[in-house]
Amino acid sequence: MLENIGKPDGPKIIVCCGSGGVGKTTLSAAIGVHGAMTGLKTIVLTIDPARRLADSLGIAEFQEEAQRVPLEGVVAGNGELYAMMLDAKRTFDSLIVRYTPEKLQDSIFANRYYQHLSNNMAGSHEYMAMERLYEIYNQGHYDLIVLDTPPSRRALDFLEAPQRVMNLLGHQFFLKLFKPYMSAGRLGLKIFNLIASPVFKAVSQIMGNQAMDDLFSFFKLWNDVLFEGFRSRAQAMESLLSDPVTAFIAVTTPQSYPLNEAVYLYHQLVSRNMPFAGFIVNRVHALNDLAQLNGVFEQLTDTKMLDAGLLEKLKKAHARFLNLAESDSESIIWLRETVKDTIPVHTIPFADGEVNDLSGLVKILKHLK
Amino acid sequence: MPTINDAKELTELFERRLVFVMGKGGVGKTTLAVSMAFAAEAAGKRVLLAETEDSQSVGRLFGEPGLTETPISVSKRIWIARINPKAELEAYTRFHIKSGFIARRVTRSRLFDYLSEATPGLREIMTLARTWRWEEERQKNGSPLYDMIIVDAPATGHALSLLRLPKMLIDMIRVGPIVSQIRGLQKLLKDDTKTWLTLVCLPEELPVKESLELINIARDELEIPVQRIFLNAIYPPLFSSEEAEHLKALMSEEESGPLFSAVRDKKGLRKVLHAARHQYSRRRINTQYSAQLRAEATGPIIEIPYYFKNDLNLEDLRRIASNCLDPEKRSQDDVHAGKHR
Repeated sequence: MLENIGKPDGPKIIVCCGSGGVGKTTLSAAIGVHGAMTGLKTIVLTIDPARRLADSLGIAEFQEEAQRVPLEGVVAGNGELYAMMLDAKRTFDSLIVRYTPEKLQDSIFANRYYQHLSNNMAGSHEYMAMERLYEIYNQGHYDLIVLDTPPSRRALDFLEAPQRVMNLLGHQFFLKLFKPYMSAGRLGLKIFNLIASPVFKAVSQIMGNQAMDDLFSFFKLWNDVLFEGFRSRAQAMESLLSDPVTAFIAVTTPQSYPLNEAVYLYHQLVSRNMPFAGFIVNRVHALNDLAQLNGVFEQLTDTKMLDAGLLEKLKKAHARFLNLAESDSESIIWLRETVKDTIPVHTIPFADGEVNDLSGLVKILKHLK
Repeated sequence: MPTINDAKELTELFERRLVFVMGKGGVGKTTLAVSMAFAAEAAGKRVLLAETEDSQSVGRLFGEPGLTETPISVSKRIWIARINPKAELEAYTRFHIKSGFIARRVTRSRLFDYLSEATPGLREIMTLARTWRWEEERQKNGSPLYDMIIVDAPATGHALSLLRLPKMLIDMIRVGPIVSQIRGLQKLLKDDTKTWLTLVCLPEELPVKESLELINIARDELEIPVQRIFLNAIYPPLFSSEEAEHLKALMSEEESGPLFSAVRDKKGLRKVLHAARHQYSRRRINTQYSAQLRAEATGPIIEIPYYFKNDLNLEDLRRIASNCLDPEKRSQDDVHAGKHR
């Protein structure tokens, strides 16, 4: 899965997707370390990462500006690693600053609809993650960008949410409906026609006039100054994600919920002709012939070196682990049968401890090669 | 550190009308929501278990993937439903627009479609409104249709924007009929005799970190404190610390060491020791983060042991309900994970 990283035609962008709690952030960091180790100037974009992860990368804390991760002695050639934390609201704000004349910026920032959109609306975090990715890619400062997608219940949210945001903001129907009322001139007067319609009356009766006013003034600004910029960027982002410079990795654990989400994501990516690099199944209880014991418990009893209580506990621990290992193994077999033979499926054993330092991240990489 | 194993922790929970089960993705929100429903049912309550629109876990568990906003009965006193904000908005519109003709025109119009998607917070507020309407539903004899409504909430970020909404909308809309209704909803959410937030957490670094953040936001910003924390999937204690030390020594032993020399199946011994080490390591991590959570979070923490299974089925969840969430049993339960350290 990682073998192409560093090759001339290898991926320049790696997007780690997966449902919440599967270990995406740690794996993204490990892949970033791998990038630097192969000599690439690499950046990991992440969201609200663990304290422990910042620690293991040897940086005080993640910040919104790119920070250099000290990797001396580990990296090859010109390899470097940077980490950056994503902030949806700030990214959105900086887009407004870029596309909007200065005199209009304050009114956008003060608009309640905008405030909601930029911070709270479902999909805005995912949209902004994509936006940052696009921006950093175009600046061309890095050879490899690893994106840890925002936490969500569903693995597909990252792909769908930006489209959803664009659908709302660039909705053809919306334009048709409101454009006549939004052209320059006396907005209030033109909106009057719309407001007089019974449908609209009913809706604003429910929503309240103030909310409708905010919505209108935001969309007027949006339409006048922002729409074109956003639309062309959204299209460019979409084509960047479909380009072979990008590789999607689906991260999961052996439980059925994240596993089904990962497979669903895979099917969606394939049907959209998007580049899929493989699955990582994290936290696997490795089977490794665990069931094959040649009389070890009897032999241990015979040695009389362990007391009976401890021996029983060892039996119990082994039985429990075996149980989980068998169940994990079934999940992985199912996954391999479900997806095409050519799709890589890597498994990472459930570690005894936590990843606390760089060597922990490097250890993970061993399983991805 | 003693576990407060007070039956009251649970009886009080089952006296609420509306309970949100929150937490980070993958911590077991659905597990707890369903087990809670079973336990409340056993305590004689009529329970509605609702999942929000982005989830399908409850429906899948009960073999009802096509679950809708109309509750269906799945057990003696348990109903399940999936909240559909759009359907709720339509119901709301029909209720508020006197003319049926106009109401139909409105709900069928593309403007309505668009606004229901694009209006900030509308989906979220309709999700809350649905729970409110369920709370107000009554049987013929006047007693509540559901004694307890359990909401399997979305992952933390989305759940927070959900609960932030009433206040935001009150500030935003300021006047009008909808505001007084949102105030009513807000009153229900803030009434701790009726509504509780509960939180599911795993004894691991990120879930504990996120839980502590959520607890603070809930208390300071939402002013709806988290009342109960379920610490899920705790590795039960197996080895005492002396035994763990003993095993550690054995593990570092070379193949030529005394134990390995005495055993023919050396490979087997390695496997057995590996399994043992895995369990006491996980247990140690669990204990460390449980302790952090206990030190920094306020309020009762209810512990749920790990069941050594990847996917829990309804039988398992019934077991959790009777082993961990039954107030009668809880006071005397000595197999429970929390009692031994």
